[in-house]
Amino acid sequence: MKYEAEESIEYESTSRRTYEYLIIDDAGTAYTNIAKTVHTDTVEELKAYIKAKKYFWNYDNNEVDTNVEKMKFEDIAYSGYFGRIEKAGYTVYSCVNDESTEFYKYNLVYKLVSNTYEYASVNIAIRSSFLFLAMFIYIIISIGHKKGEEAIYLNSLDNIPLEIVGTVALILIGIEALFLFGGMSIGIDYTSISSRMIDTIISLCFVLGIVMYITITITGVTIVRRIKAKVFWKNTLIYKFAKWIKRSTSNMLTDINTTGKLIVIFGAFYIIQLVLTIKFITDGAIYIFWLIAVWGVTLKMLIDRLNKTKKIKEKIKNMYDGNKDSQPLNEEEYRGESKEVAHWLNDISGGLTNAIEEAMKSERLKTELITNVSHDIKTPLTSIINYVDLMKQENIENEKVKEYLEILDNKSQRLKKLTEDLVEASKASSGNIKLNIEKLNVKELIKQVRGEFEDKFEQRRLEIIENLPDTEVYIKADSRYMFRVMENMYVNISKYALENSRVYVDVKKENDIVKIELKNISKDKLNISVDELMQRFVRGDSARTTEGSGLGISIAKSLTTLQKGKFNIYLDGDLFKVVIQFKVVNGDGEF
Amino acid sequence: MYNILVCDDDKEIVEAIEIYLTKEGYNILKAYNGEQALEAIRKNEIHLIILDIMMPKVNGIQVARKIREDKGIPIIMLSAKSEDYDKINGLNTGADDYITKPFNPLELIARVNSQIRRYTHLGSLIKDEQENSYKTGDLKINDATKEVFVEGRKIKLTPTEYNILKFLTKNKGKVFSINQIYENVWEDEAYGAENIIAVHIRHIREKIEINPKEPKYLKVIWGIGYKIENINE
Repeated sequence: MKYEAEESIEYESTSRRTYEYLIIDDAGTAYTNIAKTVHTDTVEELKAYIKAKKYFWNYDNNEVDTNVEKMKFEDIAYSGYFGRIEKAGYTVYSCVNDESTEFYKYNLVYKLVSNTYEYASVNIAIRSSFLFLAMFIYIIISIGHKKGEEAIYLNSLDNIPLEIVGTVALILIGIEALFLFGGMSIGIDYTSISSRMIDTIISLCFVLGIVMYITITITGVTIVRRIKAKVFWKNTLIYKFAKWIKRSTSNMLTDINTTGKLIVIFGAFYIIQLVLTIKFITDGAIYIFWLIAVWGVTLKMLIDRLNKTKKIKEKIKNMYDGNKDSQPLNEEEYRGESKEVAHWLNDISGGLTNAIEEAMKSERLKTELITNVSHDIKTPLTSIINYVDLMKQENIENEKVKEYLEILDNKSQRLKKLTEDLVEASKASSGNIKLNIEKLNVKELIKQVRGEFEDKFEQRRLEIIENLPDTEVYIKADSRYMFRVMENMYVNISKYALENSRVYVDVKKENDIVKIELKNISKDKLNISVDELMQRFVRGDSARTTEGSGLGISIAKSLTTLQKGKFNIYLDGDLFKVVIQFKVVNGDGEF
Repeated sequence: MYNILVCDDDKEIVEAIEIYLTKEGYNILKAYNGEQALEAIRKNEIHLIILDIMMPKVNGIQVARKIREDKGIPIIMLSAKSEDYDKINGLNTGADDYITKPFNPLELIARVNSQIRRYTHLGSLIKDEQENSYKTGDLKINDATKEVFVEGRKIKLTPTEYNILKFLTKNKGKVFSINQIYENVWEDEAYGAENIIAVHIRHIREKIEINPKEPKYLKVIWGIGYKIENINE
């Protein structure tokens, strides 16, 4: 080598001197990027400069001289780079500057890792981006669906709270990332690792990259599925915690009694007021708005509560009035104790409506049945009555036959009366009667009824004593049914009053109530209670020997009640007293 | 001799009616369902029909409707159905009277007589509308002779009863309270004696009505007063 003779060095100007080199071609020209100084103006000085560095790699006279372990001759003898250098016949001296060593190591491993990573995930994805996009959309749409079904199905992973899934996923991704990138920052000395180790690291990185990809995919899929199934928030720990807090506090609030609750609420309100007032005094005007806001919210809450209480009250009023068409309360509107009350009310109201409807239905059916049965009884009864009458017209000598016929006649007539009363009683008690309400004069009614019964009373020597008010008294009632009531009572008196006694008929006007009182002395001992008398088929004479159906009082009471009057019986010894009450209407009434 | 058709699916009832009406001098034809009734009407001259409502095949209402298509024969409905609604329904389909079962034989006879009289004589016989006479339906009062006729029957009334009836008939259709009747009939202030008015009116009713409990002419409006129904022919 004749460097001395015609030594020519070409200094390349470069700003980067991390990597410094000296290359001498077969023509003997030397190229370097080392800065030209007094100490580096000859080839030998340059070679010495490089050799003095911490990391160098030199190739001279087919020999590799290096202090980088894995770059020794035996490690790279068959690599492409080396071959090119060898064939070209260059002499190469290279080194890494001391101060840049860490960067160099970092760079080396970074390049290894990033190439692996890109290859494992991004490159594949990009190369098949259309397929990937299509797959992605398909997956997003199909997530959570089972074949041919609309509903979203959740698997066990989806039922694990989101925070736990997220944390686990983050830890996994973190660990993987640590492995992938961590090595570089921690500063593992890759230069000191063997090339087999590097291979291992590369394959590990590849695997880790795939694992990370899978982790991210699974996490993504479960999130998408939750959103689609609308359980994104419900399946979080925060939601569950909030719910638990709400439940336990509301339970607590329900358990403590109303007074306690009031104290708690008022206490909270008072404390907020106090704090805000102090703040207003010390910290200025801005807190007045907070105060106003608190007042506004409180006022709204109070009004809401009042409205709800009002609704409950209305509902109770409706039930009290027997208005079965009233709407049930909207339980969703209520909270806590009021919700319970609303629920109970709805329950009771529903039960009540059903019970009323059932009762009305069965009462109607009963009336229908009685009416039909009575029709069926009437036809054969007609024949009985007629043929008994025809027999009576025959010339019968036998006194006994005559007596028997008389009995038959009486009983068949009673049966006739009974069937008629039965229909009327059942209709009256079921309210199955159409009323024609008019303004009636009570005094006139009493006189008219008296006219009807005068002869009967005279026969039994009953004296009627009437005490009528001076002024006319009007009531609202059905003329015909009012007469039925009075008729039944007068018939009773004519039958059961003691002969030669007095019958008192008093009409008393007390404020807006008129009382019609009928008093008489019973001829028989009244060993029967008022309640029993009011019932159907009960008569003062328990032997039931006299005529009558025992329905008179029951019909009178039912008809009075139907016309919105009151009907009461009082017994005092042998004194039998009936009091019928009606509301008085104005003399110039609306009729 | 008048022909009366009795139609009821209960044979015993038909026979009982036959006995009663034969005694009254009527000729009875019998039918046991609607079809037979219609056939009998086609074949015979009938002066009155007693018709049950509830019958198999053609019921009484349908028969009445069929008869009313071309004939004015009086029809008395006879039924176990005693509701107001049933009565109104029966009378509206063309029946002239409505009797409920079980019936009083005397009432049936009276109603048959009344309908026969109306159908055969009345309306043509007494057309003498005199100045001093008052009339509603078949209730006629001749004030000149102080005579009262109901469906051709002469009614015997006391002078008080006559005066009350005349006053009410003169003002037929209007309702009068006891006091008003007293003041108008006695032309005096009512002072207690008016109590007998109610009794008088019941007596009048018993005399002029076939069934005083279901009066046709002298109606009681309980708690309001009394009136003579205004019946136009």
